[in-house]
Amino acid sequence: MLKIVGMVLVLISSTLIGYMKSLKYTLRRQELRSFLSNLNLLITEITYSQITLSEAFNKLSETSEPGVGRFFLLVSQILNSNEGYTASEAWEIALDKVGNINLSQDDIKILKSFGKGLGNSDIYSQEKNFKLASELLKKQLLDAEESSKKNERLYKSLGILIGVAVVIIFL
Amino acid sequence: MINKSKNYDDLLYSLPLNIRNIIIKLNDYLKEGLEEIRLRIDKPLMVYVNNQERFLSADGNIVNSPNLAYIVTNEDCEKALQLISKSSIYAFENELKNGYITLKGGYRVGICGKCILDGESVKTIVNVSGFNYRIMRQCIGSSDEIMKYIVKYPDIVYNTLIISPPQCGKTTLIRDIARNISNGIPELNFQGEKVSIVDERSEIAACFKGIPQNDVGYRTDVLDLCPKHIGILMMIRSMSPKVIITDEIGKSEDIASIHEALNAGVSIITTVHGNDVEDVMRKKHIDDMLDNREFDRYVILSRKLGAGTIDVILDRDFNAIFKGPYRKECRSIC
Repeated sequence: MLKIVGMVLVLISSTLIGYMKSLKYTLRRQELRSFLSNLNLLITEITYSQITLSEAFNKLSETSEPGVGRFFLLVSQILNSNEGYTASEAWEIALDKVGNINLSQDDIKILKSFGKGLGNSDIYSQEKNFKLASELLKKQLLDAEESSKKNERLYKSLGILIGVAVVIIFL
Repeated sequence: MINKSKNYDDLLYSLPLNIRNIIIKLNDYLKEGLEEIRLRIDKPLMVYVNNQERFLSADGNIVNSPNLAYIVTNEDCEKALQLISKSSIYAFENELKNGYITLKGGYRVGICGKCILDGESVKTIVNVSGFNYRIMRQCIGSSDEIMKYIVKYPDIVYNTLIISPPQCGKTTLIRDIARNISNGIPELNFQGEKVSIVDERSEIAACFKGIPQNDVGYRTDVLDLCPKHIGILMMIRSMSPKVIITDEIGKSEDIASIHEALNAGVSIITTVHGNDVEDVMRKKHIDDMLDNREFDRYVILSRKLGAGTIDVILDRDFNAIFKGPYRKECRSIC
């Protein structure tokens, strides 16, 4: 009896580990997509409404999905703290501090270099900076989609299979 | 009568951290008399305080030699521009073109650097190397004494021209006149009238995001950053004012739109550079207005008792009806 319970437990936990591994790929894809659409909104706020960045970030944090929203909220909080931070500094600090984010190192590098040009020039240059980042992020998104297609199923089935293997060994 | 409640928070938040920490350390006497903070790349940090230009050291003390002063770095200046614009330079392109940005709290920062031209006009300023943070103080009550010459029971507001050399407080005076006309003057049984301010350089009301940072009265509408001749016509059409107030007229189109205002039965109060009536008579365009007796009152300012001294007030035929010099005590006038 005890044996059966143990086997079931092993099976469930290894399956879950596999699922969580694969979930990381899904989340990265979602976050990248969310960043892309939010940057799109951001550049509209910059070129069309011409509101300040702290207001724009605040707006974005309200409308975007929780993970990315938390990041934008953090940037706007750092900017509003009046501790002498510029928008690009606040952007970088927030990227380092936000945690619980599933982006790859490369994704973050792109976002950081986008942040460097944030707010410190006229509309024309802002748009150029945005276009570059958006192109690069789109590439990352393609990459994320591809690897999630490959790896998501891989990790899911790997989880189950390892569980089954362990169970068989213990039998 | 200085506005003591004014704290420096909004100003400090726009200063780079290094310099903010120096200004915070200033003693209260200096803080109260502070008029300008000047940042220039690789040059000593300077303040204009109690009518004197002074160097500041890194620990917030006045020093006599520039060698002991804090030297403003390139990084300070870059930071300053970002902080002034709230890290959103794109949102202040129009202001940058004019060379200054108005901050929350009515402070104003003058900016200079390298101009990028677009044809004839300035497109933007880059490599910003010099900042002039100006602390504007409103002198509430500076016009109280002379209002009886400008308004008359029940609802007459005389067309008034303020004649003043530069830096003598004409903007301060006209701002206070706006407040008085708008709020009404119980002592004169004057109820208060609708006032429209056309504030081409946001000096009178010092608008931040369209909201006046100075007290210009509660019946006052402000059209910010609008060229005078356009703004006057817009205000007549849209806001049905009793009085239009605007600063530093001189161009022929300004005069033309003032005539429009007078034809529409709107009173006008404005200012012009000059030492006296003869000075103004020599100015093109305005001389006709004087010849035609279009102004009912002339208020002439000087520095006899310090900035904001009212020298004399003349009626429409240039007879003196008030003889100064008179000056309402005010610690600082911008």
